Amino acid sequence: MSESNYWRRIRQQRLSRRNLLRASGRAGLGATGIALVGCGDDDDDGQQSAAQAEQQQQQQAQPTQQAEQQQEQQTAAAQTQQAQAQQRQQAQQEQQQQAAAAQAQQTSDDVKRGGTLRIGWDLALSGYRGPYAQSQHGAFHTPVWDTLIRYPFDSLEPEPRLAESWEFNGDQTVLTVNLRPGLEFHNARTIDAESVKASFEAILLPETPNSQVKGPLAKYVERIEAVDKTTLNFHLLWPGTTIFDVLNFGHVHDPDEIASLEGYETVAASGPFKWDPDPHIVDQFARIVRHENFYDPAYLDAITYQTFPDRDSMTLALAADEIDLSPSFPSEQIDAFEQNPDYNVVLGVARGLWVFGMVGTGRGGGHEVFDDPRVRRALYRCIDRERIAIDVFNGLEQPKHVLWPDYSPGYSAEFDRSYFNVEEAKALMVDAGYADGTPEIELSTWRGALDNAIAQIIINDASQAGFNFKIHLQDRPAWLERFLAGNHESYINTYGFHWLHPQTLPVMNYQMRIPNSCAYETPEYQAMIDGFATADTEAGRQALLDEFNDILDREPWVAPIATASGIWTGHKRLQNLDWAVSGFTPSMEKFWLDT
Amino acid sequence: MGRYLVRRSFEGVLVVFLASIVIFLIIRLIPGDPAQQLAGEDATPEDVEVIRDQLGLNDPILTQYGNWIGGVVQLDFGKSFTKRVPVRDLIAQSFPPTFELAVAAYVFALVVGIPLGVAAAVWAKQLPDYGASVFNLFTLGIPNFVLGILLLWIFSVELDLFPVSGRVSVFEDFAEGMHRLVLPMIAAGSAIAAVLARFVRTSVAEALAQDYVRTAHAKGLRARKVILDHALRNAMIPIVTIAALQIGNLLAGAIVVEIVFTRPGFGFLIIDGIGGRDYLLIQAMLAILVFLFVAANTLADITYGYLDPRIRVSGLAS
Repeated sequence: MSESNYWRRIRQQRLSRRNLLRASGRAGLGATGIALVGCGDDDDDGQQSAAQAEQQQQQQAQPTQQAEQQQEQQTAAAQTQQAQAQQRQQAQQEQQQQAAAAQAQQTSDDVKRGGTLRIGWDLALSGYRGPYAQSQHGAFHTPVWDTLIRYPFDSLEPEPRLAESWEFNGDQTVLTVNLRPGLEFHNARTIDAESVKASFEAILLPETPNSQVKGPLAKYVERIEAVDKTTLNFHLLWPGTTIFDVLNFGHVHDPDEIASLEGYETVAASGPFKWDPDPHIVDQFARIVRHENFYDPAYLDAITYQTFPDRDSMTLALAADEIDLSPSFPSEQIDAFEQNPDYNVVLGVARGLWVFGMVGTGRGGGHEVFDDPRVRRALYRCIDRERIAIDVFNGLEQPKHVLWPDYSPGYSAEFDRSYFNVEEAKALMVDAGYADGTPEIELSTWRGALDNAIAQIIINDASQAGFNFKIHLQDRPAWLERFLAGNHESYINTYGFHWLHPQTLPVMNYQMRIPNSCAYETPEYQAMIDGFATADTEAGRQALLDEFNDILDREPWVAPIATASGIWTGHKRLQNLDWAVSGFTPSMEKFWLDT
Repeated sequence: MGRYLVRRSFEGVLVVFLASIVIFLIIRLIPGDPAQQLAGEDATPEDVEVIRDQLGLNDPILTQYGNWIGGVVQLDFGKSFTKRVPVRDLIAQSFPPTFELAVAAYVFALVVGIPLGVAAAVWAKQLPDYGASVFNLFTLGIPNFVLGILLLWIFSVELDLFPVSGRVSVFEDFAEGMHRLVLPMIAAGSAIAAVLARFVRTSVAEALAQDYVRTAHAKGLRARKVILDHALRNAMIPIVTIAALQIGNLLAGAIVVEIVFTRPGFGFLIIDGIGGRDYLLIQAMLAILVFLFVAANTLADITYGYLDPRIRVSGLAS
């Protein structure tokens, strides 16, 4: 059996915890065998080396025909893999459509209420910072915290949450928001305009860390006014719809507890589920229970969160039916779980992008080769995004050539094309004076295998254009320290929120604002960012967005690679696990268990 | 004996104190700033400074050490940077599962290792001896986490006899607690059992060749009495030391094994602490492990001195 056939068979095998552990056991035995072999004495090694040399000579003497056959097999395997990936993408789209249709047909009579959903993940809940949450804790903060509005999964058109309606004044400098009547915090106090106002004002306190809310709030909102019990006015420094980014992320919570940054379990929030302190074991087990006075009460009684040390053990627990849902599912297990009729694998919306950062020397770190925009453009053209999407992400992620999703005001079809062209990159490098290649450039990664798989593909292609990269794997804190200092030479990372309003990123995201992680700073770019403050027409703002795309195309400092999406895998009894009927994170008050 | 006890205890305290300094300093040499880690990728330098102030990381290093060690002697280990709860509470929460596993594994090691070693010595070059050799080769040659995976594979997956994750306290539900403890206990204790078996075999084999054993046989004592009351008792002196020294390995092994079996405990806490550069948490955990290790060694020395008066006399003389 050829190697490609073997792996195809493995990939098509139905996964059960037996298979998973069987593979782990074989790997363990193999590792032990290798370790034992490695314990042999020097004579053994010498004999082995001689045997290896002989074998190598024999291999070198093999006819060219065999190499060609091997290449043909590899090409065929790659084509098969690509076809499988395309089939998967198509199947997922169909699955989303079917789920949307099923949801539309579903009536409240079909729903079974009650039960506890058991979630397993590899996250420490202590890393969650309440209203300043990071997206990785979405499965916790979405059911606990609520916002005034929420973007759906495929547009920037807000949908009502705590706010039932909103309207702009004539010049779009004041947004009037009307709250739903009868809202309550988890501690039974009334949610009114004053408490919502206090929620947002607390975000601006110096001790509140920067977040997806703080930057835009400070930049766009002049003041918040509580008009009456259920009406607020947001007075804006800049006209326009960017304010919805703030409302989409600004969680609402009891003002008397806002000042506390002490943790998720002390703040009275506003979502469909509330914190249950009794069974809490720090970073091991947590439970939230239904908030009965929520405006759209949840179907489930409770949700529990069990932390696993890694994704493999979490996957094993899912296969053993010890948990119902995993919101941080490893992509390498997708094939097996997709073919298992007991499970539902759902690829979420793109929460961000995989990017390649090219750091110039502007902040005292970086690498001098990246001071030249021609070199950065050359690297942009050395990234084979299609291949990475297939080979590394198994066809689960989409190759990305531009920063924005196609529904964003920042999107321009003009720039959304395949850039991969090593010959063009080589010409740019020659033009930049690197005909003989660059000095060694450090490529910093921190995620391990996934980062390195992407890096290897890029490095191989880039080396043909004259780049000389060397991978440097660090752990996350060490990597982050250099990232924030602008001290990497180049890096691979994900960057979030690309589906937000494009005006938000230059004031919030560290890879886009000035100063940024790539030490990119030009008067032209600064003027473009500042321009949003004075552009008072939609046409003027659109012109600035076009300029943003133009600058990024001419002298990119961050190169998009592929989408970065969440993968949720749950037991089939869990209903409504679907993005098409939810939003950025599934609306978990709509989950129910068909037991 | 009293002077010997005081001296060994004082040495133990000194080692723990010196270790606390090394731990404190070495953690700060690891790249990565806890304040940046807490602030996240989009943090501004001002955000990071605010957090550094809150955590006391802008204080002089001596002040930081003084504050920490001052708290430690009062059993106040400070507040975890990342988990925002007192470290003492976290330790109280995670110690019982690890302790439970370590004790179970130790008991397993003693119950398996000592009889196996005695049998191998008594029936040297016979089936029990060869069996013990195979056991030693298998358990010492395979890392405990690999053994854990193998046990999971065979007994949880193939035979479906045990759950794959989680822990229930044996004090709350003994049957269920033991059900979830058996495989981790074997994974963590097997290597220790093998070490003990080897030492017991050697030590008992030496004792069996002594004149007093031959005399005991000549007196017509039963073989079992000779082995247990004469040979094994005299062979126990080095075994006690080895058994005590294995406590350090046992704790380290338990920490790794509980990760494999998804049992909450010290293992989770240490990994979280290192990943988040949670200085106070890591310092406390390492200090406790050093303390336990030193305490076990000191106890072994004292026991050794008690069992063999020549040791304490020569120790004091030197």
